[in-house]
Amino acid sequence: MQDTQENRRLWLLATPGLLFFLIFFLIPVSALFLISFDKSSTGIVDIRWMFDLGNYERFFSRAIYYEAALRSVGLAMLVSIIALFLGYPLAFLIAKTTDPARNTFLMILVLSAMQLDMVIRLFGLMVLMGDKGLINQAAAWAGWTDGTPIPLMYNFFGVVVGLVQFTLPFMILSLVGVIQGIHPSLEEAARSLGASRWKAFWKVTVPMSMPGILSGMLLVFALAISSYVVPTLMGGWKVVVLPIHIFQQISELAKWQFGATVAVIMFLISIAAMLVYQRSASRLAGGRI
Amino acid sequence: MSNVSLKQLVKTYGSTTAVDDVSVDIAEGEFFSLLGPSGCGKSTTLRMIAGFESISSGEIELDGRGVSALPPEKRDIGFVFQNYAIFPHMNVFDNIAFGLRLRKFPAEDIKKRVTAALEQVGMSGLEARLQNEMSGGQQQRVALARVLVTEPRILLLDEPLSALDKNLREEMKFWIKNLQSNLGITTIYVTHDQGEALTMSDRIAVMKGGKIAQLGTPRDIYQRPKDVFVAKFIGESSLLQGKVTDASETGCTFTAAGQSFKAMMRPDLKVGDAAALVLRPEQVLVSDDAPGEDWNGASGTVTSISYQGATLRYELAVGDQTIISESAIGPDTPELANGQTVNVMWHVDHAWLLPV
Repeated sequence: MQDTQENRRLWLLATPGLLFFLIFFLIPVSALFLISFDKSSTGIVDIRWMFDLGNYERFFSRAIYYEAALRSVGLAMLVSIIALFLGYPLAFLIAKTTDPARNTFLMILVLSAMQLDMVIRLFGLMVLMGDKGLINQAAAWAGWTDGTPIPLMYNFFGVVVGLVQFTLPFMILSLVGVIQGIHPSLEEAARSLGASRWKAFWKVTVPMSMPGILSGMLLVFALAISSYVVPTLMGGWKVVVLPIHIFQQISELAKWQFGATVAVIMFLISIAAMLVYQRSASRLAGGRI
Repeated sequence: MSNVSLKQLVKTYGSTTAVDDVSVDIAEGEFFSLLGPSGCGKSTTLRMIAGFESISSGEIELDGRGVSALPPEKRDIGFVFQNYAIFPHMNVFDNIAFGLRLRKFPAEDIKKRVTAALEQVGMSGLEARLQNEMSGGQQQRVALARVLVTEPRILLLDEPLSALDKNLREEMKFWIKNLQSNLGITTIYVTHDQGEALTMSDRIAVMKGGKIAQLGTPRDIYQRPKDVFVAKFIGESSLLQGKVTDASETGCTFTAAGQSFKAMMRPDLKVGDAAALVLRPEQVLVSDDAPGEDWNGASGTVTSISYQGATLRYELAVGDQTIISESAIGPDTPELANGQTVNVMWHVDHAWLLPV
């Protein structure tokens, strides 16, 4: 009796959030899903109720689109792997720093990277990596190049660097908590049983970090595959990924239906990735997640 | 040759000294306890022996070989943690096989040894259990099996029973002691529970402020405490404050609360010194009769009586001091009343003085 009453009160408290989610997320996304099956048109969007699979056929029959999908997936996977290898040691350091002042300092360092607007951070990156940027100027000054700039930006490499810079703090944040949750006695137990520091790390710490590793990679994957700003600014429209197609179709060509199709496909890829991660997570964790 | 030898062991953290000049030799097969309140340096000492903490100065020798430079995995020790430290991502079998696999034992051999180890700790058939599917007692048994299966030279136990409930703790106490004496493995046991230390140990080092306050057999430490700290930490005791008023070769006279008693003399006391008499509750008798020879008697007043089930406990005022007496309830236990004047008695052999 009391339980149901408390439940009802909880529902009441959750209602505004639920409504917001419904009105400003679920409905627009569903609308997008709906028009992705509508007959393509140009101009101001309206629902024409002429549903077929034409847009999807178009997507999978033209290399420019499905190659962009493959590029997007490859890019997001690469970025999630790089972010893991850069982020894990840093997260490990933060997790094992017991001194509160030092720990706070490291945490602020990571979080401050998230505070600055991404566009501003990318402009900073451009100052560093542009053809006349700091790196190229320094290289020329040191005589390592004959003045021809090293192409650091407006290519795949630039996009990867930009995406890693953008996603690394998320990776670190998902790892720190998990690593901190591993009791130090577990590693000590492994050591006393005959494991070297390295063995203890691989056989105890890494497997026990797996939930954080997988959720971090999934988060980074989702952020990277859906990023529009980074491939635009760092890739200079040369690295064409799905969000760029979506933006072009809708904003420049006013082809809402086809833009929506690309968006739905990107969304499905993210969901698929999530399922793959989830399954491998539960397999790696021996069914504990 | 002693099995474990601590030589002037010191551990400092910044300006605080956690372990301060600890020297002790532990014999092959001995059950040795480090006993003390939290922060006394007992766990730090154990962790230095294991190699989890570095040594600030001094040396640790295992089988006569200095091991300060050796990492934990090269010390041939087994360590059991207060929280058991069962690997949660492995089942019981893999937990116990962990050390054997690192030593590259063949698979059939591992299976045989793990099975035998599980039998030894009474956990046969639970190979597939995960950490979160086991009770504390079961985890403790697995932790012991995991350590013993690697046949370490020395077993180190860090408060292994403190997370268990009382009944299980009592049971495990005897079980661990039996297992240890059957295997004859040198064991160092850290605890803050004097009952555990007294029951299980061959010898106990009582620690305080990073130093060994007293080193001895359980009997020594209980009956002949070196100072007030040890007397109060081990078992219950009443301290009768007074003065040494006369001394001979066989004993001394101790005056407290306006009465004189016979007591054993100790070399660090002389006539005129203030001292305290340690009286264990079970060694103090309450009676209407006069004390016999070799017995001390004091006149006291019953101020409180409490029934403890197996025993009766009296608080007795002797002068302005209090003595506790606790005796088993038998058929001839006298019925005393509050305010009654009685003879408070204890044998001369139990009249142990402490410097104050």
